[in-house]
Parts: sequence; C-alpha cells; structure tokens
Amino acid sequence: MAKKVMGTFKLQLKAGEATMAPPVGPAFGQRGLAGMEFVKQFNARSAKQPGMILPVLVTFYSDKSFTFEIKSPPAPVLLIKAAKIEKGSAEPNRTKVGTVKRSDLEEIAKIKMADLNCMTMEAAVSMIAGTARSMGIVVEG
Amino acid sequence: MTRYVLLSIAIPEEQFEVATAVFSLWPVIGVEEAVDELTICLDQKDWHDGDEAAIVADLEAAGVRAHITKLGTEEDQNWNAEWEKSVDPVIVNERIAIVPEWRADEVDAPLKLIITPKMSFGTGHHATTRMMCRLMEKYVQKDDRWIDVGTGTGVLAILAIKLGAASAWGFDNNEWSILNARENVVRNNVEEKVTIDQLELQETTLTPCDGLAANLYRHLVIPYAPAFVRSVKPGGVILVSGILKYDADEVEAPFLALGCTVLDALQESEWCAIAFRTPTA
Repeated sequence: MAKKVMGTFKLQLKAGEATMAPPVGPAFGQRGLAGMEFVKQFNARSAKQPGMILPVLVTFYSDKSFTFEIKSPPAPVLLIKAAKIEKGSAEPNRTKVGTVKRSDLEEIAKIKMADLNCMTMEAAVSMIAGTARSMGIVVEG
Repeated sequence: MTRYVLLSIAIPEEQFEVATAVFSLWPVIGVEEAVDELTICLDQKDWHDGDEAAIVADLEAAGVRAHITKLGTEEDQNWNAEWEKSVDPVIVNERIAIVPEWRADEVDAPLKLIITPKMSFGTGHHATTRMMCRLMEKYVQKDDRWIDVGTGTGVLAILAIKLGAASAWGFDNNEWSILNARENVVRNNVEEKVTIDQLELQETTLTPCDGLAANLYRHLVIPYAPAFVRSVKPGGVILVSGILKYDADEVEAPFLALGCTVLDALQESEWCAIAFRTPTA
C-alpha cells in the first residue's frame, strides 16, 4: 500500500548551514521525523549556494519518512545581491537605492523560472523587474 | 545549553519574499513559514533588547506590513528524541551491526556497535555512515592511529578500535555530539583508546595518524584536503563521505592534485564515499 501524505511544512534555511537548532529541530521533532537525516541531505544538496537563504518544502508521510524540495532563493534577495545594496528602499517611488541591468534580471529569472507562475522567460523577467521597482531598484537597459 | 529566540511576525504571504530579504540582514538561523506568519529563529547571544522593534521597523521600511504575534525563547533540547525511540538496528554487512542500547540483545554480529543516538549523526540509518563502516573494515590496520573528523555519535572512532586500531581521536563542533559520542564510547568499552573533543575544524591542528575518516560535506572536505593529507602518514588512508555522487569528481580533485590515489569508491543511492591513499614519498 502506498504511504499516505500526512502534511507539509515550509522552512527557510541558509544553504549548507542547517543544524538541528530551531526551526529544523522542533519542526521535525514534533512530527517524529529524522531531523538529522534532513540536515545531512539539505546541506549536501545546497552546498553550492553558500550564504544563500533557500526556502524548502518538506512533505512527510505516514511511515515517518519525508521528502523535500529546495526552492529558488527569494527574488528580493537575488536583486539585493545583484544591485550590491544592503536593502530595498522605504519609498521606492521617490528614493532609488540601486540599479540592475536587464541581463541581471534575466539571470535572476532563469534561477526563479521553475518557481514562478510564468509561461515565458519574458514574463518572468517582467515579474522580476516589477519586484525590483517595488524595492526602489532602477532597471537599466 | 544554547537558548534560542523565536519571534513570530504576522506578514501577508505575498510579502514573504521581501521579508526574507530583510531577515537576511539579521543573524537569523532559519525561518518557519505558516499562513500569513513567519517565525524567525535566532541564537539568544545574538539578541538584544529592542531588536523586535528594530526588525519590524526594517520590515516596514521595506514596505512590508508586519506586526509581532509572539516573542519567546526555547532552550536547546534533543529535538530528535521522538524519532530516536523508534530506531531500528542497522545491519551494515555480515560483520558490522549498529544497534541502540535497548535493542542490543536482538542482534548477534562479530562487530556490534552500541550506538544510542542523541541528536547526533551516525546511527547507520544514512548511507554515508554505512559506506564509511565498509571502507573502514577494509582499511583499518592493527595498531593504527585514526582520526574521525565530525564524529557525531562517535560511531567511526569506535569502529576503528573494534577493528584493531590502537587509538582513535574523534572531534565535532556540536555540543550534543560530544555528549553523545562520549556516552557511546563508554557503552562500547573503548574509553581507554578513544578521545572525543569539542573542536571547530578550522581551529584544529590535526595530529599525525595512519588513517582519517571524514563523513562531512563537500564544502568542508574540499578546503581541508591539504590538512587531511598533511596529517596522514605517507601511504596512509583518507576516507571521505557525505558526498553526493554528482560532486565526486570535484571532491577527488584536490586529493589527486596532492598526489593521493583513489583506492576505492562506494556508492549507495545518490551518496558516495571515497578512499584515498596518501602519497608514499
């Protein structure tokens, strides 16, 4: 008989740096899941994106097993990195805090494509450009 | 024991990504998402009075509508306890078995390792531990001195002694691992030959040895390859694991560049373990 999905939960963790400290320990522990196993797998799979915060969706099953899917980093995090700024603008319409090139948006769109509800790369770039503008980041080109 | 600060903040779900960008400016360990709420976790030593207001101010400055719903602390504890209660013995091969103390009588194996887990890695339930056990069985020689980097439950250091090594030094940076490894060393009656220390790898001078086991991660093994090779005697053995099979070439490269040769490579599911011989001259 196929194992039954019991639920899902979502965490955001630093690539390659997960430990059993909260939120991992309590999230896995309260469901009786092997958190140490998750830590090993997550760190190995995310090690090539050091310093990046990655959302991870965990699905757990009736036999106490689990699977997880690492999502792409949040677009604002990628934009801040591309614009080499510390944070977005409090008044994006009036105060601009940085600039990114269209090629930066294309790179970010490529990373985010799988997680965006977009049919085309053009639509994904447009969505990322909108996020950039909402953060007071000017798009050049 | 460490205490953690858990700060829950009501945030509209469509603003989670912007909020995450704000949190990246704080020493946040991780975030748990719920419906229209994010709970951020920080080490209490990184927390100061008034930080909750400063975080909300940062969120509002980034255009995020946020208000605090809960602020609390939680002491570090064995979050893994529930899973550990249901741990089954692991039969690694015909000779080696890893069993929790309360099920030790159920298994008869020439090399029975009593490993009662306590939020530490190395119960044999993960492929990387099992592969390291198989490689150690093949390469540990009588009277060897072994180092177990990132010892976790202490399982590999204990196995080294059971395989005839004269001494084993295991270290880990995790407080729970040290506590657990020392307990397991006593359970296996090898306390006279095994030393367990709490150390950070980057601050540790590796002592001369005949063999070194490192069940870590790709991003730790690669930069420390030179230190591992320096520590192991010429013609000695280095075992690495915790490596995804897709990363095997990248992990092998620094060892080969230092004159090591690949002795063995095992693969189980998507994981691999590699045995290197250090250069003889």
